[in-house]
Order: sequence, then structure tokens, then C-alpha cells
Amino acid sequence: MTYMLGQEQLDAIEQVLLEDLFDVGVNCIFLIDMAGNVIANLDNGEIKHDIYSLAALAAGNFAAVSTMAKIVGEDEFSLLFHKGEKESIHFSKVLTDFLLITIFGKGISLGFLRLKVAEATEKIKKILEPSCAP
Amino acid sequence: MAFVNLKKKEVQTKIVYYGPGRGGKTTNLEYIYNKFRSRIKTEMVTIKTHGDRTLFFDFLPFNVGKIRGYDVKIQLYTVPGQVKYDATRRLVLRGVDGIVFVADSMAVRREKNILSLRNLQKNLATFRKSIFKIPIVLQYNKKDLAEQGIPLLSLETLEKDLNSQLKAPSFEASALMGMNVVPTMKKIISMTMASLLMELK
Amino acid sequence: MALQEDGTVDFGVEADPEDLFGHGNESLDSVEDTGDPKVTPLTELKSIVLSLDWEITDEIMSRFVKEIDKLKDTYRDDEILVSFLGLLDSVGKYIKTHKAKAHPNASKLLNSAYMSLEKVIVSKDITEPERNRILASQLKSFKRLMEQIALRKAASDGKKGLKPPDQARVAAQERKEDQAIQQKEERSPEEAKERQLEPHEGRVSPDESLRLAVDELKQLIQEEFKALREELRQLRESKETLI
Repeated sequence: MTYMLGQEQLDAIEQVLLEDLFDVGVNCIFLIDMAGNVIANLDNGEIKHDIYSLAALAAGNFAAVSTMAKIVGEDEFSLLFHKGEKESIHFSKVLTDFLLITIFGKGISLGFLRLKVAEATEKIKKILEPSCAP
Repeated sequence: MAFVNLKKKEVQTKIVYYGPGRGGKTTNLEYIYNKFRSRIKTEMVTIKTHGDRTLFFDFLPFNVGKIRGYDVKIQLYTVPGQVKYDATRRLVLRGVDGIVFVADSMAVRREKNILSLRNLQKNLATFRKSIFKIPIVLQYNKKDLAEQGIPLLSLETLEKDLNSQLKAPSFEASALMGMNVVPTMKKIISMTMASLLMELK
Repeated sequence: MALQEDGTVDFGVEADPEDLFGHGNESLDSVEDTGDPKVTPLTELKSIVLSLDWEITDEIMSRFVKEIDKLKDTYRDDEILVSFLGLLDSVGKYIKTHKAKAHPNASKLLNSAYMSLEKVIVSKDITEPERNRILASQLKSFKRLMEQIALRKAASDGKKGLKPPDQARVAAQERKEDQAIQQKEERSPEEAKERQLEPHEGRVSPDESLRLAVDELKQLIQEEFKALREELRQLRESKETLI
């Protein structure tokens, strides 16, 4: 199964990432699919992370944790978040096939970030839905 | 699932190296990584146990250049082959576009090859994919062991066990020596791209 | 301790077992409650502030506002604490109203104001001037937040023409400048003691500075509510035109 995203959709996604997340202090944001492909990413220009490896690992990580959730009787966990000393990573599912990953520093609280991610996710869902319709 | 980025004119596809434990999946990727080091700008990602067995997956992104004006990025993955990691194999198979089945030519591994292929079929089915429809190449690895007097399965036996229904392209290989590693990879890439182009039509 | 004939061991306890556990007629209610020494009036507020770090929901914000009201009553005789609580109340209500659209520094200010409040309440040897200084510092941050909110509204129109990667770089640059200004403003504690509330020149007495701080806070809260009412009015008007 292949899917395509056009210029307009990708521009719209980038705009959402910029306005809702980047502008509030997130250092690096990327939207991936569950196969580990990178769909869109934004960073502050100083980030030198290997986005492709991060994407593959993020997809694997999220999938592993989702499987654990089912084993313990949960549909899914509502929070997947790794706290670092300087940088932390938050994962958020978008529809069934996509993941929004945000890397942020100490300047932004997780609680506030989750609010922003929820908002951004709703907007991105609307952009992606036409490409995912059966 | 392959992703076509019309804005960047880029195609991303996922190829998974599958097979029984200790069959040579990781060795294939390591050979490719070392051979094409200058073209592969990132490090190969490996998540393995202390005993050097793949625990989660190995990952190697590979740019094959332009095809019909599109930059083609291949994501090569391996799965852990040990039986106990079935759940992990399933996760890694998600979104797969092409498969290289790395069979172990050692005679003692005959049963394991067959079980692993059946396991692949079952795991693909959980994503509603058919082993008969997905691009797949078989690699009969460890041919170099013949020189050491280790009993190996003949090509006929391997074909009969693993390829009588699939009728997929197959290569006798030695991942350690680098024999037929690149041709295997090239074959699966071209089959995957062809399949992708068919789908896009 | 002695081995009995039936093979059991006598541990030498002669008294009635009931006596070992007291007289048996006492109820738990009559036991004197010494209380947990770690429980303070701020415990509930602290737990709410900590949970806000993980998740911001209507329910938690409502609990926050309710707890602030309760504490305002508890500390009604202490003007400095009432000012602190007023500040927290204002920021809390702002976040509750705006949620995801709130300025990111609002939740930072909420945390820092809480930490300062805790310090002022818990520190045994804190002097009155020190309390004033801590309050003044938070009020300054509050004022800065108001300015940032106003600037942000204006700036968002200016950035609309740029493409996302350019906007990303502009936003990153603005954040850097913001941080640089904030670092400049954070002076050493010794220097901070000399600082007075702007725009007043010369030294003012602690009482006077407190009065000025409270007046400024009241003014800022009024301005914020005025802006909110205006936004609500515009929203209502746009809804009416749609119908």
C-alpha cells in the first residue's frame, strides 16, 4: 500500500507544526508514518540529529509500547514520553498510521506541550485524512 | 508502505531482511554498509543483545539515486530471527514494501528455514499482506561453509522447500564473503520499485 | 521460654493477650492525631502544580483556582501572600481560558510563582524586605508576560507572509533574543535587593513598594480581563453574523 502527499498537504502540515509547536519553543518536530518514513520535519537550525534513524527507532519504539499496552489489557497508553536532562521526547499518534514526535528542552512544560500537540494533531488529521481514505 | 513525497520528489520504501536466527540477515546489511560507506551518510543502527544477536532491528537508510526524476530512499531493516522475538518481527514488518528471505544453507537448519518462512507468511497476513503478492527475493546464504566441509543443503532442496510455490528470484550467497549480497539487494530494490510503479498507475 | 509437654513453646507470656494490644475499648477516633509533619497548607496546591507539569485539563485548572481561593481565605491577613495568590489566580485563569493558545511562558510563570510562594511561606527566617523583593520579581515577570502576549498577537500577523522554514528560523531567533533579555534581567541576589519597581525613581519604603505592587497587579489583571471581554464580544458578533 502506497500513499502520496502533495505539495499543498505538506505545506499545510509544515504550517501547523510551525505555528502550533515550533513557535512555543519545541526544538525539533517530525511527523512520520508507522513504517518509519519521515513525512515532515522542522527544527531550529541547530539540531544535527539523524532524523531518519530517529524515525525508524521512534516507529519501532511506539509499536513496541503499543504491543505492551495490549498485553496488559489497555487499548493504548495515553502518554509516551522520555525525559532527558536537557532534551525530552514526546510521541503522539495521529490517526492510525502516523506519529508526531516532538523534541523539546526545559523551557516548555510537558503539560503545556501536550495541549499544543493535541491541537496540532487535530489539524494534521484533517490534512491527512483524504490521503488515508480507503 | 511506500511514501511518495510530491513536494520533495522523493520516494521512501521499506525492505526487510527476514529469516531464521543466525542466518546472516545482519551480515548482509553490514556488508552493504561497509561496501557503500561513502554513499551512506548515516551510521547503521543496530539494536542487539550482548551476544550480538539482533534484539529489535538493524536499520540502514540507502539512497539509490534518481528513478524517473524521483529520489529513491530505501530503508533496509533486519528482524531478530530467534523464535521468541515473534512479536518484535511483526512490528518491524509493518509497512514493508519488499522482502529478502535469508535462508541458512546449513543442513541442520533445514527445519528452521521452513518454519521461518511460514512465520513470515503468518506475520504478513496480520497486515493483510500476501507472501505471494509482495516483492520477495530468496537468498541461500552461507555457501562459503562448503569449503570447510560443513554439510549444506543443495540448491534443489532449498528451492523445493522454500520456493516451489513462491517462484521468486533466488541467489546462492555468502554474506560474510560478500558473494551475491549486492545482486540480492539490487534485485529486491528493482522488484519493489516496479511494484510501486504498478500501484501508482 | 520453655518447651511444653504438648510440644509447643511457652514464650513466658502470662498476661491476657488482650492486654498486649491495649485495653481493647479504645477506638481509633480517640487516638490523638499528631498529624503528618510534612503536610502544610500548600500541600494540595503543590500537588496540583506538579500535576499541571504533566497534564493541563479543565478539571485540574478548576481545582487550582478553587485551591487558590481557599488559600486566599487562609492567608487573608497577609497582604504579600494575598498578592502572590492573586498573581497565581490570574495566570491560572488565563491558562484555563486560553489553554493551548496560552503563551508558553504562562505555565513557566505559574511554576516560578508557586516556588516563590512556597519559599516565602516555608522559610522561617525570611525578612519582610526579602518577601517584598521576591514578590516584586514575580510581578515583574507577570508584567513581562503581559507584554509578550501583546507582542505575540502583533507579531503573528507580521510572520504570515514567510514560508515555514524561514518562519522557523525567525521564531528561533526571536526565542534567542527573548532568552538573552531574560538573562540580562536576572541579576545577582545582592544587586536584586537594590532594585525597585519601575517606573518609580529612588528608593521607596517596603510598605509603599507593596502598595505599588498590588496596584500594578490589580491594573494588569483588569487589563487582561478587559482584553478577554473584548475577544468574547468579537466572537459573539462573528457568530451572530454567521447565523
